[in-house]
Amino acid sequence: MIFQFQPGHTWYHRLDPVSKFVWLACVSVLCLAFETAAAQGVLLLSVVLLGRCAAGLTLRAQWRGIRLPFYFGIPYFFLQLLFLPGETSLLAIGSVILTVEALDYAAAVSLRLLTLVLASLLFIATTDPRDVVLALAQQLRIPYRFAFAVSIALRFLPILEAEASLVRSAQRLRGLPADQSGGFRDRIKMGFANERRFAFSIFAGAVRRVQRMAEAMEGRAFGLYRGRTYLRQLRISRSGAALSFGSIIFTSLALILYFLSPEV
Amino acid sequence: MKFKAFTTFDIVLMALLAVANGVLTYYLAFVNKMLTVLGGPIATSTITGVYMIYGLLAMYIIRKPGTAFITYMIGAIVQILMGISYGMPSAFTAAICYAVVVEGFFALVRYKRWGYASMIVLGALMVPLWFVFAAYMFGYLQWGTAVLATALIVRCASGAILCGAVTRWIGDALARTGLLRGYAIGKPTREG
Repeated sequence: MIFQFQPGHTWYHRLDPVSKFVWLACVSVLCLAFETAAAQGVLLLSVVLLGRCAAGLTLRAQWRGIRLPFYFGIPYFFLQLLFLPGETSLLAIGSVILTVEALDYAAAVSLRLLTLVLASLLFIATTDPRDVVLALAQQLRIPYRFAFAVSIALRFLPILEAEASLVRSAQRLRGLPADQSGGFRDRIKMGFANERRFAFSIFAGAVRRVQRMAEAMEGRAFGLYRGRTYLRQLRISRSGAALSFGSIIFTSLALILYFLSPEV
Repeated sequence: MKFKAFTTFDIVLMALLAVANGVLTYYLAFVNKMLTVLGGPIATSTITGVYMIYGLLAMYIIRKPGTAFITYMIGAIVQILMGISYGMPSAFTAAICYAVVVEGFFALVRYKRWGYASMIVLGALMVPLWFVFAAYMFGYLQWGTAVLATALIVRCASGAILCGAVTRWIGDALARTGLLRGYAIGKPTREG
C-alpha cells in the first residue's frame, strides 16, 4: 500500500468517517470547480495546513504521499504547457510560443490532482478501515453483508501477496522462466505465457479460497438475519457535525464567490 | 425473470475481484503515468479497458442484477483505502459510470446475452460516460476536438478488447477449471 492508516489521537483522528467524507467531498467539489492556478494553489495550501495542524501529519509525510503524482505530473505539466492553445504570449522559443493561458491551465490541472490525492490521503491516514465498514453499515445503512465485503476485500490483500510469492517460488523450482536462448519475439511470447500461467494460478487459488471462506462464514451464520448488533457503535460527534456543516457552508460560499469573480 | 438473492459466495467473490483490481491498479498506475507522460491523453487511453474488467467479470460469473454496481463500489472503496486512486471523486465517479452502463445493458438484454459480440460491444459502451468526467477532471478538454475524439476512439477500442473480450476469455477459462460450478456461469445458457 502507498499510504495507510496511521493510528493517532489528533482531532482529525477522532472524527467519524462520515464527517470526514463530507469534508472530502466538499474539497473535491471545489477542486473540480476551480480552473485557475491561484484558486487551486490556495486549496492545496489549505489541505496541507489542515493535515499538519488537525491531523498531525508532518510535511515530510504529506510529501511522501504526493511525491509520485508530483514527479509524474511534471512532464505532463510541460506537455500541456507546450501544446495547449492560448492567446497571451509569455515566451517564444523558436517556433514554440508558451502562453499565459496554457501555463495557468497546466498549473491548475497539476495542482488539482495533487489536492485530490492529498485530501484522500488525509482521510486514509486518519481513518481506521474497520471504522469505514462500521460507518457504511451503521450510518449509511448499507446492508451489513455488503459493508463487510470491504473488510473481506482488505483481508484478501496479504493472502493474495502470499499466494503470489508461493506460485512464483513453485514456478522457479520447476525451472521457470525457461529457455532464454531464443530471439526477442520468442522471449516475449514465453514471458507472456509465463505471466499468464502465473496470474491464472493465483486467481484459481484465490477462487478456491473464496469457497472455503464463504463456507466458513455461512457455518458461523453470517448473514442469517437481516440486521445485527455491534460491539462498538459509531456516533457523529459535535465536532464531526460542525466539520460537515461548516464544509458545506464554506464550499457553497466559495463557489458563489468564485463564479461571481472569475478572474480569481 | 426471477433472480435469487446474493449468497455469501457471491459477496466474497465480488470482494476478491475488487481487491484483485486494487493490486492490478497499483502496478498499472506506474504504466499509466508513464503513458501519460509519453503520449498525453491518447497513450494513456490504450490501457483503459484493463481498469474495467473486474466488475464486468463479476457480472459475467454471477449474472444477477446489481452485481456490477456492488463490485465496482467495493472496488472504489478498496482503491481509496489502499491509497492508489487519483483521489476519492475519480474512484467513485468511474465506478458509478461503469456500473450504470453494465447494469443498464444487461437489464436491456434481460441477462441473456453473454457472447463475445455482446461483451465487446458492452466493453466499448462502458467508456464514453466516464470519459466525459475524466476529460474534465484531468484537463483533457483543452486539448482540442481532434485529440479528444482520437482518445475516445482509442478508449472504446481498449474497452472492447481489453475489457469486453478479455473478460469473456478469463471467465470462460475459469469456468473450464470447474471452480465456478456454484455460479450462474457454471450452468448451461442459451449462448453457452
